[in-house]
Amino acid sequence: MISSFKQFKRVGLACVALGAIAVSQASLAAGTAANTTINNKATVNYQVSGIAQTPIESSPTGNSTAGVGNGVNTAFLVDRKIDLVVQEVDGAATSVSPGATNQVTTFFLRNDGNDTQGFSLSAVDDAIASSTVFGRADAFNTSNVRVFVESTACTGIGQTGLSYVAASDTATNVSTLAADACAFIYVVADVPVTATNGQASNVTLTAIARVPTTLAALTQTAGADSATTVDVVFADAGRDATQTAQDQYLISSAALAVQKTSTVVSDPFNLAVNPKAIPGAVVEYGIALTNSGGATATVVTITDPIPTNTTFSATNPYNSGASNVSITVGASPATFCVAEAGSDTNSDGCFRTAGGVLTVGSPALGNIASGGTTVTVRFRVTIN
Amino acid sequence: MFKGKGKVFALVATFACGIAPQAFAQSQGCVELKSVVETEQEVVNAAGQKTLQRAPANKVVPGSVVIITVTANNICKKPSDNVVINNPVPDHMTYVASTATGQNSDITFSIDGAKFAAPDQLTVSDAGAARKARPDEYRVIRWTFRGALAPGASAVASFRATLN
Repeated sequence: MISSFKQFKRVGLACVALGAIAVSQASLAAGTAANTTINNKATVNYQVSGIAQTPIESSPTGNSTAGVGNGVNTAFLVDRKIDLVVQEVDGAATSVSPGATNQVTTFFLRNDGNDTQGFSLSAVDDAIASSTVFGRADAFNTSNVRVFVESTACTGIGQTGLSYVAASDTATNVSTLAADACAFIYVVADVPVTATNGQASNVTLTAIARVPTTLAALTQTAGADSATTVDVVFADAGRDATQTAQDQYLISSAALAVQKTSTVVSDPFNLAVNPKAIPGAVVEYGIALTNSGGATATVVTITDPIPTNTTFSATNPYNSGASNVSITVGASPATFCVAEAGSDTNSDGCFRTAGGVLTVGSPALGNIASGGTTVTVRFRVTIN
Repeated sequence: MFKGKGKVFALVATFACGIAPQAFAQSQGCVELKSVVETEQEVVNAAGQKTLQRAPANKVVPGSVVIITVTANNICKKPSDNVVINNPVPDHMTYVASTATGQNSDITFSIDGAKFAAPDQLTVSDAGAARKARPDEYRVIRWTFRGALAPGASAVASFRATLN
């Protein structure tokens, strides 16, 4: 047996056959596709009595038949790895107004496994005080919480130009998502009108990896490996094919504070010097409005019953005798209106009702911006 | 987690290199070469002690590490000299640095299957300049055993690789 090898020339160890080595091996986050066969084969070169022998390839049990092609690959299969990422998009709460409906928070889902999967989705509003997101504790409940999948294909978490469109984003689960592919998910909810400026409500989205299309539950393969069928391994944190993420609705509304003051302007005897509040004295009322909220207050109307035992100044004390109500926004020059008895015949937003209630509204009283600028409405009465 | 190894190295496909020119296809050699691939898991025995247990790799999850062990057993009555084992790192796998072992051997690595060198000397051409190759770029591992392999004796080579 060995003697027959003497006729062999020395076989140089110049190179080793590598097959597909020249191809770059770009590695995806999801990993090698499930059910891929991985082959290993080694080769031994050796000499006997100084004479090089034909190289021998390996086999799983041991091969001694010389020559290329007489070995057998030692092989194994790539398991199906289940993994997913769910995360909130934008890194900030969605700003909403009290009473608004169909308010949207956006999430990103990616299949980090090595095979196509389906994903079932569900969203819940977190109970009050049960969670903190972006440093804000949950303080109110949203209602009618729904989940929809963005119908436009996802290209990555930085994708722009997408928004929830009710007519086209109607899917409520992800039927199939290839390994490494992603999808944008919308949680849509209604905001109660009772929520106040600065309150936050948190929502939690849950995604579960499932059998594609049928969305049947996946079961992790327990027990010993089967040599011929592909197992399922849950590789996500928690090893349950389930991931969650949270987002937040943050109320931005106006928060008006009203402060009423009065000053005696004059009396019939002291005139304007240290006037006293006696019959015949003129008193000026000031109603100061401040908006400490996050949103502009619009369509603001003040109603103030003229105090009993006083008479509204029908003579116009402002605007060189043309007006009887003055409105001052911060340090800007005052603007004016005329509060007629009965109805707002000149449509300037001011009038007095038959019951003696002074009404000051738009357009004389404009929007009150947030940020604390004080708007003061002034009018005068005479003490009866 | 994206590994970003999308580089194509400046190299030549290697199947044209010298392979055994002779035509004795089915002759029995003097070495029986066996290759096994195993996974290793930590198990806790009844006494609460942790040990590492190896099992044949049937199915492997991406990201896992397997142990490839090649055994060359001299089945003849004469010693074998200059025993060299070559094991390409399988497709879809990445060599785990510093895990190649083999008693009485010098271990070298190659990127292209032609040039073999120790880690400190193995270079690769990157954007026109040469730099030291990284272990995750090694594609073939070679064990050059010193001395003779006596009849009935075995030489063992082993390394670990991660499934991409």
